[in-house]
Amino acid sequence: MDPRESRLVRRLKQRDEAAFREMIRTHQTDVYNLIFRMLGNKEEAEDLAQEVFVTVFKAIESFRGDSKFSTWLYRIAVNHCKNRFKYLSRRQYHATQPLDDVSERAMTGRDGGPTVPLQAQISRPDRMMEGLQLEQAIQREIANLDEDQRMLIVLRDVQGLSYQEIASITQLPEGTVKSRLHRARMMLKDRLQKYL
Amino acid sequence: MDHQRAKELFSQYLDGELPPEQQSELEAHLDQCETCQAELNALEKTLSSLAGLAPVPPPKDFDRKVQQRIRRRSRGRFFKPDNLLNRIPFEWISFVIIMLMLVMYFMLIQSQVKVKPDPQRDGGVERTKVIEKRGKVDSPLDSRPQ
Repeated sequence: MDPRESRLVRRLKQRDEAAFREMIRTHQTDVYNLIFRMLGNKEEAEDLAQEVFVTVFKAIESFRGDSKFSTWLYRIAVNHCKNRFKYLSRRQYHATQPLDDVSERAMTGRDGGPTVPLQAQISRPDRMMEGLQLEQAIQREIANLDEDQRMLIVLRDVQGLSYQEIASITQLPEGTVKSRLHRARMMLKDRLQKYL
Repeated sequence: MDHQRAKELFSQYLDGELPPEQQSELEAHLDQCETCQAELNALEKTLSSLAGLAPVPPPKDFDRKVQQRIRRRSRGRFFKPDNLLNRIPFEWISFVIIMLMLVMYFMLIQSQVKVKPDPQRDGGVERTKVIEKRGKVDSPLDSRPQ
């Protein structure tokens, strides 16, 4: 842990509310995105991301500093996702996002201004539509992967974490992470082939 | 190298984690095999599409909602409502209160100076006697029937 992070953690353990606000602002986008990509639903993602930060507030005493704070935070988020999967599968929930929801989000940015995600470099409207369709297809096909594959794809290929971090988050050997991820990537490639 | 073995190495190759010897072997196979070349290209496109997904912004009031949730669960122990008094520095509030007290003190002094009776001029002693007399008459004990 770098000194800045270690100071933040010390303040969090003292229940410093300003430090907690700072921590939420720093990590909210990563945590929310991880959960959104895993569950494919904005409302569920918001609820669960809030729950992750509540857990951090409650359990900060148990953080020993063996890993980076963000790794510990991701581990909590991943565990919450797994529990939510179980809960939702009991309720016959299917992790799909309404298609217009992705389109709507793609049109508006952080401050409500225009933003273009995958289609960032596309200026033509028809190409932009293709980009939107591709993004919808990706979200749909991620949701169709099994729980472990989805988690690895999101952590590595969407969030861009290192294999070492992923191994620490998932508590799987690095070799296992790599082989499972490779299978998930090949599966996703086959399913997305017609959109690429 | 056969197709199956080549495909197994695709991820490591694209992650740049393949040892140099295996990398050369794979590249030699790719030079001869269009099928594997096409598969590798498709995988590369898939990964770049995943990496190109724009971050989804969390709701604007996300941090406030987290704080509300903690406040509710802790029964108000943490993250008390952010009212006006919480936002104004304590030093400012203290300064304003001291100034108000000083102003009130001086106003009180001023009013006492103006109202203070002059016994030489307005017969203050006589008036005190009248009040004492009235007080005696109005007392419920004195008006009790004998």
